[in-house]
Amino acid sequence: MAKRGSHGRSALTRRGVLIAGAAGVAGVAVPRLGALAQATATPDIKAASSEGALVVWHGDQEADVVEFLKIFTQKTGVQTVQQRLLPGAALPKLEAEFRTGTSDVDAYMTSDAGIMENLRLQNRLVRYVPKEIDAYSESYRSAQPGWWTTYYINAGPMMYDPRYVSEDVAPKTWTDLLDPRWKGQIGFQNASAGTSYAFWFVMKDILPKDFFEKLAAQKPRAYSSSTQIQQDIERGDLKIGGRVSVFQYVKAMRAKNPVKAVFPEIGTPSVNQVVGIIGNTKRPNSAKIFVDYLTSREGQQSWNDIQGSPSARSDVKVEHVPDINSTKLLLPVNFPEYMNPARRREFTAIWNKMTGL
Amino acid sequence: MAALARALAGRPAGSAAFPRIGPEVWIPLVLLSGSLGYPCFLLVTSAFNVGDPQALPAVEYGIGNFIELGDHLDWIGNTLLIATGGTILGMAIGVGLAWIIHRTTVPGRGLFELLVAIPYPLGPLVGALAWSQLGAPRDGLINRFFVWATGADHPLINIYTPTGIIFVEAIFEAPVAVLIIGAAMQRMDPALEESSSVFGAGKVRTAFKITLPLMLPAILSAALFMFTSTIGSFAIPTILGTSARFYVATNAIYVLMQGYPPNYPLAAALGLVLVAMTGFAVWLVQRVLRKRSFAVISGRNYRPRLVDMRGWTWVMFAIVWAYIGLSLVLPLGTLVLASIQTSSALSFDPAVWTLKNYSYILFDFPTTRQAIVNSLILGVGTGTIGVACATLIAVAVHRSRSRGRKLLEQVTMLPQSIPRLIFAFGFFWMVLTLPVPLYGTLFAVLLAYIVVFLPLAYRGMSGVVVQIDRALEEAARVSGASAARVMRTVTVPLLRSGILATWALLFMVSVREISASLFLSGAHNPVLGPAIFSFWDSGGLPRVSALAVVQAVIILAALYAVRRFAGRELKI
Amino acid sequence: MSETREAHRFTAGQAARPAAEQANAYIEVRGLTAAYDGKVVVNDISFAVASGEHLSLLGPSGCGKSTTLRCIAGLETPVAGEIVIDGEPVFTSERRVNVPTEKRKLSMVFQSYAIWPHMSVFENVAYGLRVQRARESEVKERVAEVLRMVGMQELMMRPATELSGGQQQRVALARAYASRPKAILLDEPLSNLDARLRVRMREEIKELQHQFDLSTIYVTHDQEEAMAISDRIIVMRDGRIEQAGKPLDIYDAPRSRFVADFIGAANILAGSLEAAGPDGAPTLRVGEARVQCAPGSAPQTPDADGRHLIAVRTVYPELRREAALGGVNRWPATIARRVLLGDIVSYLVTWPGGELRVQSFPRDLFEEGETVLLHLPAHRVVPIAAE
Repeated sequence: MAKRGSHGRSALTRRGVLIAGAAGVAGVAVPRLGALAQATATPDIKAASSEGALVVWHGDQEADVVEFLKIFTQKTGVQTVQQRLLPGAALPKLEAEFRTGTSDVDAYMTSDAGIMENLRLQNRLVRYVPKEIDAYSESYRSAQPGWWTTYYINAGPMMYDPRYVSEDVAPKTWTDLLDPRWKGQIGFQNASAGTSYAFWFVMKDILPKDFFEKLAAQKPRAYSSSTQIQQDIERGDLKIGGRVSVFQYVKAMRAKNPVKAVFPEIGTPSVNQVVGIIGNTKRPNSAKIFVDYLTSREGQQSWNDIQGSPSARSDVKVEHVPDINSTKLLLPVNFPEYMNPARRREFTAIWNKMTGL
Repeated sequence: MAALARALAGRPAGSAAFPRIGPEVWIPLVLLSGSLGYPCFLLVTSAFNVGDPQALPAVEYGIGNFIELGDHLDWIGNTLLIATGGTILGMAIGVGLAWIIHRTTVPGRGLFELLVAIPYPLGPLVGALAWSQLGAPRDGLINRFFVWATGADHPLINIYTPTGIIFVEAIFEAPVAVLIIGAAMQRMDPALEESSSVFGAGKVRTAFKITLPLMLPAILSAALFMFTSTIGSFAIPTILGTSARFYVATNAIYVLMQGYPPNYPLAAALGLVLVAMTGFAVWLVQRVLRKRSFAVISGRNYRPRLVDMRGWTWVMFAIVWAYIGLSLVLPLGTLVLASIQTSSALSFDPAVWTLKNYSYILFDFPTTRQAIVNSLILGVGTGTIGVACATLIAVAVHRSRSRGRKLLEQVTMLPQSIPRLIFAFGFFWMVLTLPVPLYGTLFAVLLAYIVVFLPLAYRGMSGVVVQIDRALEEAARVSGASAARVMRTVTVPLLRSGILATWALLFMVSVREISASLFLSGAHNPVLGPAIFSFWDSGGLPRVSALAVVQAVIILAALYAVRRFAGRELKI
Repeated sequence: MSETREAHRFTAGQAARPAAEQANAYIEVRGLTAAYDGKVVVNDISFAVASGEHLSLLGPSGCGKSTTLRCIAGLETPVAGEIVIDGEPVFTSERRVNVPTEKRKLSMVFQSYAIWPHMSVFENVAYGLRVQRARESEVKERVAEVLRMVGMQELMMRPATELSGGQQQRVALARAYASRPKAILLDEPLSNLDARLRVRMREEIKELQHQFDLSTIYVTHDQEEAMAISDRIIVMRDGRIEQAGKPLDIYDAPRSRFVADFIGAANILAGSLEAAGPDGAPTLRVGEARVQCAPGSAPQTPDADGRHLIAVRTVYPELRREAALGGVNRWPATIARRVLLGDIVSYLVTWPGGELRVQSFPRDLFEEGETVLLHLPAHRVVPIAAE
């Protein structure tokens, strides 16, 4: 900093100004550059250990996430805490926290990539390109890699238990759900779930225009998770799961339950379950280590083994999981529309009404 | 403390011309008004917010939200349906049980009194979880038994209906009525009924013309408690109603708050409607009681006159056992059975039984481990601080001569008119917007618990304080003890059993609480109620049942401890 | 009063036979035994109340008097015995008869008055009549009548919560008389009132007794009350009857130390038995004095040390400013202490037999230290049994 001296010493030299100018520019530019550097910088394991427990938000089955996180901690030494929040609950909480500057979440795993995109546009994400990003094709990562990456594909077939629903009358395709015999016996997740949003978003353009109207007349029931749907199916209290996350099928297979999954020819609505790092994370190093692990081959095998879901990586295979290459999966493609909050509002109103709210 | 003590010494606060508000009154008044008023203010501003739903505070105001509620009158209608039905059924059960236990010669009354009180602290969450597995149309134990026994092709009951919800609400609230009415029965001079007999009135006439009218204040008081409680009830309608497409205000609010974008203003407006309904009920009962405030409550405890039921005795015996079965034995038994299962279908085959659900929640799953510990901490904290505050306030209201005592009492009791879920949602915002870093801490939950449970604590301590004969304290003062010393050596020891009983009650209700902590509990500060709820969401029935059993065990242990160390004085 | 008449009264009291046993008994109690929490509180007592008679059960708390009353009312069930009202057995333990309270057609005034707070004065008093399904006009008339008798007619429509203690008491009385009972039971009705009011109410009750002429059983622990209003008194102790008889008979001729102490104030003197005097009256040596007892009396059970007891009521010893010229039961004595109690003077007198308490009037006061002549009229000296 150039010093203003007395008349005696002329401290205002050109060099001083240059230095001052450089320092000023540096003062402004360095943090930005630093952020860019941060985005691609390799996480510092030593620094991570002093950051404290990593906070992970997700919308998956709590037990699966906890098991995975245990393995993660064993492998990397990073401590974690988790909380299950469906996107509908996570977003408002995140918003409120951001507004009041008290946000504390680090890694965010969600079934709604649109939300991630919105966060990115609001400068609320940290960009970090995972080490093994090359294993992910374009459909399974953010356009500019590093904002978010798919950690599993959540396909959503219909499901039923042949002990209570005989195979010959079971639905074969989506429009079969409109059969009056299923009135009051179809279950979906509620409007907070990203998978429900995707189901509506994708199917409204593929199925007949009045499909959802007629579906509403079937008086479907709303659940908080696919586990709840699966549970009621198994207990005989629900006949058809209208859209159930595919890993429930895999889990049922593992438990030797007779449940059946239906992947109609017209396609099965699915979502990318994505992971990203929240902007003002207090634990950037730990968060990056987490994303690295989750997207690595080892991590993907671990996670999808635990949950029973299809990985976006072609080199990860899990028993009983239907091959994503041979099943027609319908992922949301019109991203700008998918991300549009107005669409989400429209969906929430329709879905709530449909499920009786 | 010195100021409080001095004020309690009875020295007139200020002169007659300018009566002062002593610090023992204004300090709690200010604290309470702040912790109540700010959340309520946030709620109100949100309810009238017609602009950006997430603006905190709102900028655009209007009544649009209330108009929108007009489209959803079924939420309000359903709430009233459950509250009214639950109260009527609950009162019928409560009055009946109180009568049988305190006024008849049915054998085993001491044991009944104990057992009948248990379902209330165990709580609606445990009850709803258990009954969802007892009364599910296909897999519910009762229906399976019915089908097996009679070969019928349809279930006996379906708990996922408004009737089912009313039933579960009623059986878990009934103990409150039994306690309140039982206490009133013990304070009624039996001579009032005896003289009716002497003058020729038979048992029935005496019951209707004498006993019932005299019990009316207690009956109304219990009914009001039940009504306000069921209006704000969250766990039972959510667990039993949501998948049946049956929404009351509380679970509608919960869903509205989870939608994206969340509709806070509509939720707040709905919350305010609930508060209005509750407030109206409180006001109505107070008015009715004001005209009929006979001094039946004499402070003395009588042994009520027992009625020999002769041939009906065994019917009454069966009725009490039926209640205990439905509210305690069946639910706990079902939860234990469900907790040792490997899958969500209930099986009686011991080969599939396992304890791994327990080992999971107690050892493997860090969230639940932490949640259990946190809830114990919260229980102790709420009990201790809550009782201390309630005692100080009760003493200030009943013993000091400062002005504003009545106001202090009313402000203390105010939270009972605000359903806890609603209050918690305002409190959540307050915590977010305060400059103090409370968000995400256990302390925030503790504060919320203290405020919402203070009315309960105050009710308990106030009753005990009133019963202490002033002469006892005056005698100590005459012997030279300072006011603080009197409080320490005479008042507090005399209050001892009341303090223990109230502490235990606070401990139990805070351990089982879910509404007040749902929004405040998170990754860093898991709490048992919300943890059970989150488990119910995605954890699977065996594990959630195990966690519910753990919660029940904690509560039962507290109940046992209180009975052992403080006698039987559990008052509400 | 001549000595012979006193003697007659004495013997009549001594006989201790319930006066109205056979012919006129309206309420009869035989062999009544009642227990409570395993403890026997009424132990095989028998007595009878004549029609129109006022009988008091008098005794300290815990003696079983209230329990006896409640057994008669049917509010408690005795363990054994028989209760007959107006010729009809309402309770027989052998034949398992137990008429419920509401059918016994009695009235009762409770110690706490038991006025129903949620009704008006009128409704309280009318209650019994309405149970009997009397015509409303008759009810109105009767209620007004009894309220007038107790002086409460102006407060007829008031809610009961606005009444003072004394007013509640009167309403309770009115209620008791209104329903035309066969008999009235009163359980310590005056014990919650202050002294002045108690005396006044006592008068009123006596007045009402005369007007209605109903059999009455009155329970109290206050001997003054019992003396004032009873035709007969039964003194009870520990569940048994200590003594029964007319008030003055019990007063003059108590048979035990307990009764002597309980009714009025008495001096209890202990001494050794000496040779009998003229008329065979027992003589006791009490200290330095030789005391002659009432003629016709007999020495009672002595105490553990073999000494015999005699009782002299404090109002009976005579004090005179005369020289002690000797004679039966006359000694010189000194006034040791004098206490002025307003209408009464109490002297502590030192005499050859020790100390004696004497009550007198404020006329002709003696001074402390004064020497007087003490005369114990022989017929006032009653041998009593030691415990």
